[in-house]
Formats: sequence, structure tokens, C-alpha cells
Amino acid sequence: MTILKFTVNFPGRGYYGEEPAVPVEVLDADGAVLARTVAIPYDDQKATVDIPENNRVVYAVARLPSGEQQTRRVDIVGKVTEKVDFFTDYTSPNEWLYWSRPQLRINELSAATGSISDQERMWFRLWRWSNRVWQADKANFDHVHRESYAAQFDLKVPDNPCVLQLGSHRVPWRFVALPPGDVQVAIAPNMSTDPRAHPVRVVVGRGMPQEEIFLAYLEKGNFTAAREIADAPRTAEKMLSGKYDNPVSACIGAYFLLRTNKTDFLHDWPRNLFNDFQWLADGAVIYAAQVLKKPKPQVDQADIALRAVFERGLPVFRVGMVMLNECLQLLQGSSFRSKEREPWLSRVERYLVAEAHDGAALSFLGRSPESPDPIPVTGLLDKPRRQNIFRDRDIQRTQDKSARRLSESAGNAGRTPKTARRPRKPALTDGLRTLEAMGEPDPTVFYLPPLKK
Amino acid sequence: MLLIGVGSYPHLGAGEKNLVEEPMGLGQLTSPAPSVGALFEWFRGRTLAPPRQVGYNNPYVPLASIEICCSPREVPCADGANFVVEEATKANIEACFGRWLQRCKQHPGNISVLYFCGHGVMVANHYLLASDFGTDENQPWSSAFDITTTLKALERELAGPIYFFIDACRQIPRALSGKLGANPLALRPADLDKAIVNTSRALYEAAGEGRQAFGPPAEPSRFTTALIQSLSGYAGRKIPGVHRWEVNGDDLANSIRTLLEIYVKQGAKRQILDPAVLEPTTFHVATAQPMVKVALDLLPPPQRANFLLHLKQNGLSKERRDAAGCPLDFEVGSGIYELGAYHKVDQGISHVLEPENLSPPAWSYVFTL
Repeated sequence: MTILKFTVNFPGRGYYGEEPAVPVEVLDADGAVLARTVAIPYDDQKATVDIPENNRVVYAVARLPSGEQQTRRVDIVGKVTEKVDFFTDYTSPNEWLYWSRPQLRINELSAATGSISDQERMWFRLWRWSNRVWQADKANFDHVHRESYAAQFDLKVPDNPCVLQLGSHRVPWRFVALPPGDVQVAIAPNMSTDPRAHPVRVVVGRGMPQEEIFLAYLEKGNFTAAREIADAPRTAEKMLSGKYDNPVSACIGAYFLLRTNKTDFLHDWPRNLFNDFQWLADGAVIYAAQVLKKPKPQVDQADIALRAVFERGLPVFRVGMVMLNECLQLLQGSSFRSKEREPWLSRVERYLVAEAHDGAALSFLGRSPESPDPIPVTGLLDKPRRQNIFRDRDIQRTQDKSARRLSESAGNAGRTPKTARRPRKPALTDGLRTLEAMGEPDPTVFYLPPLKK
Repeated sequence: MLLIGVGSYPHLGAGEKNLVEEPMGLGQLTSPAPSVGALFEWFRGRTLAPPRQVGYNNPYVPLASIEICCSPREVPCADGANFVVEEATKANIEACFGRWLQRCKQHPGNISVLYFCGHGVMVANHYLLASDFGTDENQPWSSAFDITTTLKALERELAGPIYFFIDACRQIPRALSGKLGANPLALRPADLDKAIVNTSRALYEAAGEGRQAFGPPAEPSRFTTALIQSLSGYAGRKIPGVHRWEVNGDDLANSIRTLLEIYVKQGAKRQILDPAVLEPTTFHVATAQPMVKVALDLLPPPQRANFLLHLKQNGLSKERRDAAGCPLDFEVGSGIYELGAYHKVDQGISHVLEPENLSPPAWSYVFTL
């Protein structure tokens, strides 16, 4: 028997001091999985597996949510213990970007073709949910980092929901929900070959790599990996129990438990998350989902929570919007169908149809946070231009027309079909009347700083 | 298992009856019936006399029943043994679904498989169209059903693993755009008084959100072809200690997705698999080692004549190819390999990779010198 110990080199710890963990599979030469475990920094006592003696050589494979993978050949003949290190190489082109390695293939960024140039004039705007409306607000950054292949903003986000809007001549206008607290937002070229992929990726971090890897696997539906790295559901339960210290982490834990139907581990804590954090839409979604999963569902409680979601802005996480849709669809497809929920469902459908599909944070296309729109709009704020999506993103023409209709019906309810078919002028509508359009600098809009020469 | 194929839509484009008010650009399909036939053939492959080398094999959950409805009613089979089934109208689909569900519920270990090939549209949920879509002029959507909510409803009905293979487009049509909220119902409403009992389910959507699924005329669709090819030797991982390869929900997702990408490289229209797998379980147990389609290249091209490409396993040579023939395409059995581009004269400038797990269905690499 040989004991293998695995370590990984990642900075930072979770809220409770957990080290970031990466799932590891130990394979024999035929590719049979002999063991599954995790690689964690430094603490090589936890991340060990015993390999039977009949294997002379085994292969250990570690994967990050970004798709980056490392394989190590391990000769174990005559060895009692063997240490295997992963991701010890420092591949980040910049120290400030290193945290994003689980989400971004940062070692390939500097060679990426779609760099972010100064000519692009990428702009940003922060929106806050205040008094039940979205308002553009001035953003204060702790740090702004910039390279040709990536940019990063470090900022403090208050408790009330915030979304970051960005766009450029090439990048469709997009909103990305930001969690409260110290947040890092990395902007990098998207190296995906998926034709639906947008030119840039926006990765949001909270300085908690363990949670971010966990969340990334949860978002990708890789529950096997999520379970390995987090000793779930116990860790998820622990995250949820600490809701008063860190409600956002509690939501991540609760989403995992709901997704994997480990509802016993939820206890009554989602109710506290819902009642005691009235700025957090995710708490309302989680409570609604929990009461609907009970054998005797409390539909009245679910309705209270679902109504509250719309009063609290938007969920921070994409899984929250998906789960909100599931709750509403479940109720509307049951004997509890109600007309009151129909506008809620329509609203959620609009956000899902306009999804930008980028990571765990909720992100969607559109002109304003309350008007999601599946048709991409590019350009500066005062010069929006509708993108030809069937040309730019290899989408069939019939769908292009259909999607355009969908967005128009969403944004122009009550118009006649004839009017709705007419191409929409790039107007300063939807609450986007900017000072810049009137010749004054808009304090709520900021641009990517130019590259240092 | 339940196989539903809908190719005939009398009230859609080129149909034999009155055109529905909003046909959404949809017409007749010729792939669903051959797709149902091909999948039926694969599932019963090992039950025939003599048994075939490919076909469903799961020692823990053997094949029990196959329920089929299809439009047109005649299902073609490769061996010419065509057969006739019920028309895939909404009422018949509901009846088949009901019978299938009752059988699936009989044992908590049953694997429940639902396959649909036909027209689909979506907003947030995915709606599938039965053959009689449009028969009721006032309520054409009454002959459609919500497969997303159907799956959610089954979480409270079926304890065993659920596999949904949905081979349909997921475009967003204009007819639905003005009717947000007027959604078709699920095949079974969710009974919220029941607890969630299911822990393992897999949904394979043949098209990404807003995208189309494709099929060659009168042949099985691309998704169905990829599914059958995956299950016929291009998916799975070795079970330690025995000569068997388990194919679980994740393996299937990976294999179907990769094979669809290979079809695109061969000239097919782009199609993206959208899988959602929760707690993957063993779906099929292969009795032969899965194969991996290997694509190797070496750049720059003038250097190809100087190198040999070599795959070794456990120190033994498995494949040795002259790089002059690049790009190279060949197949090897799955497993861990050590790969290298070895200079024919000067071993010092060879390019050797760290060990790679060549898992089915495909693996590619470009040696850049």
C-alpha cells in the first residue's frame, strides 16, 4: 500500500479558513479511476489516498473549473508515501490576476488574440438597487489594473444589490451582478470556441478561492467535483449556518444543498436568511425553493418570498435566477396555478432569455437592469447599435427574427404588431438618457484606463 | 423506456391540413422516425438472437420495456423489419407517458429513459410539439408540452435515475414572444404534496439555448447518431479490476458533445449539446474497450519530415507514426499514454508531453516546435 499526498499552490483562504481545494483523480494506465480526492495547499495530511500494491505506476489528474488540467505520473513501487504537487508553476502574467486562475486560463491570456485595446473604448457603469428602482451610481475603486490582455477593478460593494454594466464598440452591453463586500472584477478576452460566447469574460471574485472553485463547479453542474472539494454537504451546511457573518457564502452553501436535494442540511436557516437580510434577493429565492421542496409545501410562504425577490432587485448568482424560474414554473404547472404569478414568470423569462452565460454571477444583456434584451447592443452609451447576431454569432436567421420579436414585445408591451416589426431606432430610452449625450461628462460612466506606454 | 418521434405535423409548413396561424417557420421533419428506429435497434441489440456486439447492457438494470409513439406511424429499422406504432399526438403521447411512468415507478432502482425527437421551441422552458400541434385553432399550444417542468415533476415520482434525451430545436419563436406566460403544460403536473425522491437525473438537450438541432434527410439526426455512437464504443471509463467500462451520465455528455463537434469539423452545421447531469449513475456497461479518435499535427509543416510521433503506454509502444503524414487521424484504445514528437536524428530536440489521459471519444494535439 502506498499513500499519495497531494498539494496545490493557491493563495487565500475561505471565510472559515478553508484552503482552496482542487479535485484530483488517481487513474491506472487503463484510465480506471482508483481514487478521488483533493489537492490542498500545505496541509498534506488531509489530501491522501491509499493505492493498492498491485499498481506499479498510477497517474494523478487535477482539474480546475477553467479547464486547465495537469497530469502527474507517479511510480509507487516500493514507496510508502509519495507527495504529488499540482499547479506549483506561477503562470499568471500579473500578480493581481492570479486569483482568477480557477476561472480563467490565465497562462494563455497573454497569447490570446482578442486583446482589449484602448481603441475599443470599453465603458462601465455601476447600478444600485435603491428604493425599489435601479439607479446609476458613481463607482469608487480601490485599485484599477490594466494590461493589453486583461483589466481588473477592485471595489467595495455595499449591501444593497449592485450590477456592473459594461460595453464597447465590440462588446455587447451586459450587466453582471456583484456580491456585497470586497470584490474583484476581472475583464479578459473570451477564449471559448462556443459561437454564443461574447468577446470578453467578466469574472467576479470575493477573495475566497475555495468558495469560488466550489461555486464554479456548482454552476457547471459538476456536483462530483464540488462534493470532493468541499466535503459537501457538511461544508455547505457550515457555510449556511454562518449566515449572520457572511450571508453571501450562506447562499452558495444553500444553493448547493438545494441543487443536490440535501434539504435536511438546510434546517430552518433559509427563513432567517430571507427575513434578516432584506437586501438579499438570493435569500428569498432560497427560502421559496426550500418551502416548495417540503413534502407539504407552504405555498403561501413561497409566494411571500417570491414577491419579495422582485422587491429586492436581482439575485447575485445565476443559479438564483434559474431556481426562481423553477419555483414559478413548478407552481404554475401545479394545482396552485395563479394569475398573480404570471407577470413574475414573464419577468424571469426575460432575464433568462437575455442571459449572457458567463460564470456563476448573474449576467444578462440589455440596456438597463430592468430591461433585459436578448438582442446584443454595442457601442457607446449615447450611440447604441443593435448587433447583427445571426451574422456575428452564427445564429440562424429565423431565430434572429424571432429573438428580435421577443425583445420588442418585452420592451414595448401594448404596441401593435406592425409598430413592433419596425426597426427600432437607437434611441436614448429605457432610462439611459446620459449626460454625455447632452455634451457633459457623466460621472457614473467610467472608461477602461489606457495602457501605460 | 419511452421513445417519441414526431416528424409529421399536418398543421405546419408543407403539411396536409390547414396551416396553423403562427407556424414559426416550422415544417415537416424526416429524421424523427429513423432516429427512433435506430435508437430502438441499439437498445434491443443484445436481446436479439443471436445477440449483437453492441446494444444496451446494464447487469444491474436490464432492459425491461420500450414504449414508442411516432409520426409517421411506420418506424424504419436498418434490417428492414419496419413496424407500426401509435401516432405521436398529444393524447397518445400522454397515454404512453402515463404507462411508461407507471412501469418506471414499480421499482426504485429502475432507470427511466425518455427520448423525444421532433420540433421544440423555448422561452425559459423547453416546449415540445406533438404531431397534432395546431389542430385546435384557438389553442394550438394545447398540443405541445413543457418538458422542463415535466422533468421537475418526475423528481417527486421516480426514485431511480432519470435520463431525458431531447432532440429538438430550442429557438425562440415569434408566436411565443407575444404570449409570454401562456405556457404549455407539463405531461404531468407537479404534485407538490409529494416529497422529492429522485437523486439522479440527466437531461441532454440536443441544442443550446436559442439554437437548432439538425438531422440529414430521412436519416437519424446528428444528436441521435452521436448518442448511439457514444454508446457503441466511444464513451466510458474502465471499472478497476474487470474488463468492463462503465458509461455514466457525465461520460455520455462528454462523448456526445465531442462527437457533435467532430461532425461540425466534417462539415455539419454547428450544434451544441446542453447537458445537465445530477449525480451520474451507470447507464450502460460496455464489454469492449472504448476507442479514442486521435488527431495529431506538427507545426511548422517543414519540420514534419524530421519527426516521429510516438504513443507509449506503460512504457510499451502503442502507435508510431511518421510526422511527414501530418495531420494524422487514427484510433487507439482509451487509457493513459505518453506522447512525444521524437526527432529522427537528434533525440535532444524531441518534444515529449506529460502523460495524457486519452478518454473517449476524441483527443487532439498540435506539436508546435
